[in-house]
Amino acid sequence: MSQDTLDLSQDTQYDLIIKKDRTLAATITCVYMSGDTEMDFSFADYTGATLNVKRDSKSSTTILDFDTDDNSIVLSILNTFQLNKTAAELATLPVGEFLYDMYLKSATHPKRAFLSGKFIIEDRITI
Amino acid sequence: MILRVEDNPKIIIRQDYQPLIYTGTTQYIFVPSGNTQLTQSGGNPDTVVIYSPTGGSATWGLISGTLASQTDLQLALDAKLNITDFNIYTGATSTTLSGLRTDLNTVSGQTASKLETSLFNTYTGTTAPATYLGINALNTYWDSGETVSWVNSQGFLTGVTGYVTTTDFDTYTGTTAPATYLPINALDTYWNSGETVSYVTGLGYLTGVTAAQITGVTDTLYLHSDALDTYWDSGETVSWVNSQGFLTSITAAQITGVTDTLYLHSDALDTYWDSGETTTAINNATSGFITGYTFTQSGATVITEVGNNINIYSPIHVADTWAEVTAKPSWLSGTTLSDFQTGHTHSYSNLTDKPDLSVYTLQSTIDTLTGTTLPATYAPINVTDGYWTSAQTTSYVTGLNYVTASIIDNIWTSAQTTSYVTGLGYLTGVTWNDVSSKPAYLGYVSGLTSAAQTQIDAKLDLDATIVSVTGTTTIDATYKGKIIEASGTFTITLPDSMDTGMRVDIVNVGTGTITIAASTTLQSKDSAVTLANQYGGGSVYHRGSDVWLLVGDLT
Repeated sequence: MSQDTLDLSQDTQYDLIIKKDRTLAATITCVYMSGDTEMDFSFADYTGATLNVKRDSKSSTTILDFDTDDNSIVLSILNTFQLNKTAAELATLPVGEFLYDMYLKSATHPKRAFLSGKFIIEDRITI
Repeated sequence: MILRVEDNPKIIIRQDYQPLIYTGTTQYIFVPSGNTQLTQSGGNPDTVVIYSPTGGSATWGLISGTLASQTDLQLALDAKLNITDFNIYTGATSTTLSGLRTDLNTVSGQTASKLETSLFNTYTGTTAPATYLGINALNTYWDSGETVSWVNSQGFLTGVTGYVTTTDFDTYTGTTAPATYLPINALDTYWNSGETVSYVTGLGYLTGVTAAQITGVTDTLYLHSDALDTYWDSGETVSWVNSQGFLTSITAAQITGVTDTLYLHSDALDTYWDSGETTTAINNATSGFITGYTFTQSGATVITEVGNNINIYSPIHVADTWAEVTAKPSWLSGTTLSDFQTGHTHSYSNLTDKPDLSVYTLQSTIDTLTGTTLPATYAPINVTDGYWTSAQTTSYVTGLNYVTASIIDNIWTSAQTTSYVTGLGYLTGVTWNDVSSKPAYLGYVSGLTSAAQTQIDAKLDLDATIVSVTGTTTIDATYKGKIIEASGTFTITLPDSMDTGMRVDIVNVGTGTITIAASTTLQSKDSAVTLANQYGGGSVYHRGSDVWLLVGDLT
């Protein structure tokens, strides 16, 4: 009998790549599958979100933070969210492969794991 | 799966399973007995310290333990008088009391048969008890109009009889107050029931009293017609006074000498019709207002005061001039030369000195003269009147400089040419503001369709205006066509509702980073919206519908 792994977490694994020293203003669209039907995820019930990037899971400090409090994350009432950083804010980041996780907040669900994975920061070739 | 964020990817995530929320129920957290901490599983544990439960009401009988351990309660109990000490008190000076009820019953020699409050409140007898309150207990006085039944109804007194009844009181019309009659309050102004006419009259209260309030008044006790305003004014007839309702059933016959015809007051010089003054008819030749004078008949010519008569005589003929004589007076008829030669004030010494009337021109002839030459007998022109009268010739008037005088009137008269008026300098002082509408013959300057200044204001200057910006700015319509020199690190925002085609150039003249943003939509290559390089610049224009497009040295 083969051995299967049951994933009980609610977050989804995606590795993200961004460019260092370039303005980040990206919109990410979120859907989920209900059987064979693609359904829009809804952020309407969520009041905030955070995305933290660390060198590794044991690190006590972050190297990059996104938060709805400073509008670096903007949740729509539909199925998209934005990640915003200015080029200046990304200019001092180290280049490499790091880890991140993203949580959503709501009045009844204060810390809902949403995304996690690697966070890859690439250097720019042409300045 | 690896995603490049700047590509605006679409991702598939797990379905959102929100925690199940039951409404209308109370949430309970159950803690195992004896536990003192709650630990949140997963994530960062939060410590919850659980103290002994509080709230609810303690129930006497269920509280166990030692009373003395509750020190505040014990201290309060210790401060109280011991019940055993109170019951056995017999002295009068001790700090404790006993037999208090007995002591109270014997104070001042009274017995225990004192009137109970409950008995007092329900007393219904007709004889006041010894402690009965006086009827005027509340306000001292039994006021006029307060009947026995009313007083009874106030609860002051119940069951009292022997007084005149309310019914009797209110309907009493006799002239003599009954023995139990309430005194009349002389200070009020109303005729209360039962107050007799003679009584009220004697008090002088009739002023302000209407006839309707008087019962039993006869014509001999007549109200003065000026009861309301003191005076019987001139012109107020009996019928008018009656119509005001001051007095009813009064006829003219009751007022001596007054009829409904218009009468003047016999004392016409003052304002008031005093008592005893009679009326007199106007124009009474013998006893009217103007007495002692008569006027003579029409046609008299001399006024001479003869006693109290004024005679009018014919007017005196004075100050005639020849110019005024247009025809021989009729009264000359039948006169003789001697009438002029002897003593007449306005005659010539004799007829031989009479001027030759034939050399004069009649006034009617002068008025119609149109020639340029004055007639020899032309009357002198009054040069001071300033007017060019009919028959005054041009040469004559010019010689008198009358044209100059007419300039003063500022009127462009007929036949005065433009060159003439211009030559007079009248156009000086006329401004464009005086021109209320454009004359049709002027036309517009080529290309000019409205006020020139308005069209000029709508044009863009050939040389752009440079505006320095050093902090976060939201531009507006005043930035049209301008060059923004930005220095620092901040954001310049492009607003909505600007005119389509509005264009602005933005240059980063500092060493910071300028970010361009739009209120709605900003389009740029690779979504680059930052001027990060010194002296790098961009140009942005409004494409319409709140969409801006940015080009330039962008990162």
